[in-house]
Amino acid sequence: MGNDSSTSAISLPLAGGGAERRRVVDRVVVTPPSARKEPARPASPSWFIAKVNPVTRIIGALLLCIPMFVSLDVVSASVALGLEVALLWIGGVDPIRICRSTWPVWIAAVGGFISVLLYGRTSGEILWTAGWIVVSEGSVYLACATFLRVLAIAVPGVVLALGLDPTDLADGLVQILHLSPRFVYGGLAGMRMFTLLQDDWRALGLSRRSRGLGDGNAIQRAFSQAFGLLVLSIRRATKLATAMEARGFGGEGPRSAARVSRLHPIDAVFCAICFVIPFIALGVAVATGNWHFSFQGA
Amino acid sequence: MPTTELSSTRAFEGSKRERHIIMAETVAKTNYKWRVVDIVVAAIIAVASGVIFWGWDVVCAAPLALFEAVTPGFEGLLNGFWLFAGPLAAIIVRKPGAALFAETLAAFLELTLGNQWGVGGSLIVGIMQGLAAEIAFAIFAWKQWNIGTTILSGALAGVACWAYYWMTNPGWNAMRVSWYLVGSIISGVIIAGALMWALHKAIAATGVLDRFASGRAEARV
Amino acid sequence: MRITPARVEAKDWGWRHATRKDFALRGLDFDIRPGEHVLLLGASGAGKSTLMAGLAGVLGGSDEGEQEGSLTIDGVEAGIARGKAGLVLQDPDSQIILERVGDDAAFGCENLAVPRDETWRRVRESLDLVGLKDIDLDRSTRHLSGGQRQRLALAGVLAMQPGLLLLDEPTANLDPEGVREVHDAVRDVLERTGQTMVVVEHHIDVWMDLIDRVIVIGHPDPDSHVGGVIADGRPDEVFGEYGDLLARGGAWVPGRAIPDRAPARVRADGDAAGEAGAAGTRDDHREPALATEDLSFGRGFPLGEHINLEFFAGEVTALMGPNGAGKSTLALTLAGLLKPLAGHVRVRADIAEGARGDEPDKWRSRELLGRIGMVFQEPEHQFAAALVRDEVAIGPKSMGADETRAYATADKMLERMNLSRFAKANPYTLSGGEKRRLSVASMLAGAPKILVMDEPTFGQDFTTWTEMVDLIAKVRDQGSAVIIVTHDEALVRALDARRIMFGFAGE
Ligand SMILES: Nc1ncnc2c1ncn2[C@@H]1O[C@H](COP(=O)(O)OP(=O)(O)OP(=O)(O)O)[C@@H](O)[C@H]1O
Ligand SMILES: Nc1ncnc2c1ncn2[C@@H]1O[C@H](COP(=O)(O)OP(=O)(O)OP(=O)(O)O)[C@@H](O)[C@H]1O
Ligand SMILES: [Mg+2]
Ligand SMILES: [Mg+2]
Repeated sequence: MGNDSSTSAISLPLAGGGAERRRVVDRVVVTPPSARKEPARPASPSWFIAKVNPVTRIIGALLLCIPMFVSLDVVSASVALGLEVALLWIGGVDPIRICRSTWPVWIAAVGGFISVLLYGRTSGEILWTAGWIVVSEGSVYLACATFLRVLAIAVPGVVLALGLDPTDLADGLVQILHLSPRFVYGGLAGMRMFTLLQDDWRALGLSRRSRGLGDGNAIQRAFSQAFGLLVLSIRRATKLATAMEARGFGGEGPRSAARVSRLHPIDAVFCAICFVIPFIALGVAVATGNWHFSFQGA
Repeated sequence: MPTTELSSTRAFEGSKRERHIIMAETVAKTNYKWRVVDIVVAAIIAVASGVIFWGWDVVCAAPLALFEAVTPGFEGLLNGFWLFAGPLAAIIVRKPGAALFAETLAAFLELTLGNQWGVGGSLIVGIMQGLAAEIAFAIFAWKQWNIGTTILSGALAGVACWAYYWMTNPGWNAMRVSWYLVGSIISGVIIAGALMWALHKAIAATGVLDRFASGRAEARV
Repeated sequence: MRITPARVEAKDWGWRHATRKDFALRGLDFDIRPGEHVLLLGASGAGKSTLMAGLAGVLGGSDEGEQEGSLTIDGVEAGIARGKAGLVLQDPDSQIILERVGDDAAFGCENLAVPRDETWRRVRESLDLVGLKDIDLDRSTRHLSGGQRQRLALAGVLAMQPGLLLLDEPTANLDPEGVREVHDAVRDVLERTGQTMVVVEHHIDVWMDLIDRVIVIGHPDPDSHVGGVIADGRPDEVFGEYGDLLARGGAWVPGRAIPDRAPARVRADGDAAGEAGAAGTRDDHREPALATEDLSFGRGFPLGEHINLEFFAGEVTALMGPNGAGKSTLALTLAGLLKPLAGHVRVRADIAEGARGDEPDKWRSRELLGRIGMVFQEPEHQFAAALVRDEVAIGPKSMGADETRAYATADKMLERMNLSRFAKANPYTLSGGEKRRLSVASMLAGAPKILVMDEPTFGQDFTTWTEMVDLIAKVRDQGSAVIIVTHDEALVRALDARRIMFGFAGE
């Protein structure tokens, strides 16, 4: 068996089966499990964010975006976006990487831009009209502001969510925010089935193929397979619930935590940054006289 | 809870059969406590929905932008695919808070998969939609689980979705805001309401819901 | 540390699943003393898993079924005695709860409020015991093979150190090495902790040395489907007194003779005319029904490379080897479901006739029907219909049989597999062994020329096992090429199958 990965045939007289039978035993040599390492997924593309507690990450993302809702102007949005990109860069995510992971945001931002351009609140000189469409100086300005604001709100949110580990988040929700462990871990177990869903989807596809149900209209097949997946996953969930109860889950008694989820100084720093960015942005807008309350006429 | 079960069995034997059958279907359990299986099944529905939300994000990125750009707010009609997790989970597990729980979790998954909306457009709007969907069942004290409440739930989720997008797109003019509201509600009613009711019936027919009140109508074998 | 072993008492206990007419179990009366080690025996579908779930308190409330009498652990109603009993469920696939191996094993301890250091100590110890010590604690649980999952589930329960250890077919998917390891692990734990244990296993030889009592569940009234205790006592008593009864009821009593279903002898040497008869030896004149050419298979990265194997009509070939070796992956590749990473899988020309080419992975789904059939390791992946009968009829129907013919075939298959009374049941509600038989039945109903079966006999009692062996022998003798992935030595012997052993490089 000199060659690592080959098959060979050896004739072996086998006990029990009668010596006169010529038995062939083949061997298939496979890579050992120790050689099948799966690369670990980083908790975040940024070394800084990776050190932050997942709960803080979510809170930080909310802190970053909620204040931005009150103003619709070019200045606050571009200051916020600029600061965010710069800080992410310092944190180890360069602008190219940001653009690559947030490409859908850009499409959405362009969509937002056009919609406000054509159907935004009208003010100033009317530049162009056609049917329902009225493009005015005001709507051009609002459209630019909308474009930047969508980016300023969504880009950091998307980057912060990259690589977020649900288990760590669940630990944080229970230990830091003191949410009900029943719901958090029940939800987490459901979330983990997401990874199974992909495998189940593939397995369902294979089994349908082997049973002759794999041809025909692709869309119809996808729907039927999706329904199959939903049924299978509800089934899995039911069994999983039983398995969790069999391990003592769901009682009213106290529960310990095998993993510690704690807040560190870095979390405070992170929150402070997330808190400050929108205020600098809005502050600059106010100071330069560009502040513009969102729901005010243009 | 045994008391309600009794009354619903008796209902079938009553003389005014039709009315009672309707009652038996809609007057569900008074047991508001979540079992582990309720939590996990609601979670998996949320996960499946979250994947669809996300898929819809990707599929819709371009068409939505186009729709948004060239029509005065009709893209609200596409919203239904982000609204259904709450109503679906609610009518399957039938517990207070199911809609909120499922829609929030689905939105969270959508967020972690990465999309164009970030925390606001995934999570915040998800929580708002979940709350709104929940209200439909809450006003009936979580006792009415029928197609009517499901549709109401979908419609309210549509309103919540509209509210969020208006908030984030304050630049819109009044016409666009109204069209968006109308589209969002229609979509909520059809996709998140009526369609989910039908889907829940189809799932119940496969027999996997035999641990739930929603799936236990089948004959015994 | 020592654990207080639990006492179990059943008083006229019974359970009916909400969707079933009959009680699964009724009138159970027994008393298991603390520290006793009980083997629970019974035919497939007798109600063993139901009893185990009852003991673990996970059958659910009055919504999910109807309970009679009482079942208590240390005097506490089993339904609320959470944590006293730790159950390893029959289905390893559904027992993994968290994403990382270590977290999953620690889950039970957390629920019992075990302090952190103690939790991790127990986790490492129990992973060690079940033979998973080479796996990193933060390795993902999703790509573990069937056998590895089973071990992980056992580790999670062992770490809880429950007073009552419940094992529902804990070795069903394990390789022989794994069976020994799990057995030894359980023995060590029991020696150290003195827990009460109840184990369900069809192949009782595995546990004989640890057992001091046998409870047999069956149908006391042969005309009804209601289960009850039919024998209870020390192993020698039970096997001595009830040996015949057990044997008739389908138990794998010790020393039971395995039927010989070896293929009929080859007639004259080199006579390759009769395909059906020419089996058992590899005949150089015959063309293989299925062959691999320099195949490399795997999911993503190659598990094995440059594989050349041949499979002949009228012959059973067994793929055997350790858990996680890649047997299932190879089986899926052979069945034309996974694409080879390199090389080819080819089907003999006359079987491939009418299909596009001779490589099954390039065929359309319909073209696989009647040519290659696959039984998946996980039966639930295979179910596509809401009723058992429709499930079996899918194959014949898609091959163009009309309704009556398709259902006639289906009914015949169900009859043979002892599943007739579930014709109108939902596939998901069947017991473990019943599901397995259903998945085999629905594949056989399509009458494929090449059969690939992944662990076709797990969870079967002796009667259904023999029935399965007969069926496999029959299709083989009708000239199909049969490929089975299995850890079941008895099956390989009974069919006198050709073996293909998997081994890890460097061992
Ligand atoms: N969830 C369920 N709903 C309805 N019926 C069920 C359910 N689970 C099991 N049954 C039925 O109850 C009976 C006993 O099933 P159980 O799973 O306890 O059998 P078992 O002895 O463990 O068999 P096996 O050896 O095949 O695993 C079977 O007839 C089965 O079809
Ligand atoms: N869906 C999947 N995706 C990726 N890798 C997988 C998948 N299923 C299994 N594997 C990996 O492929 C390898 C081979 O798995 P496979 O299921 O073929 O083993 P097996 O020999 O059938 O083992 P067992 O006897 O335990 O069933 C294992 O390392 C496993 O972790
Ligand atoms: Mg069982
Ligand atoms: Mg396998």
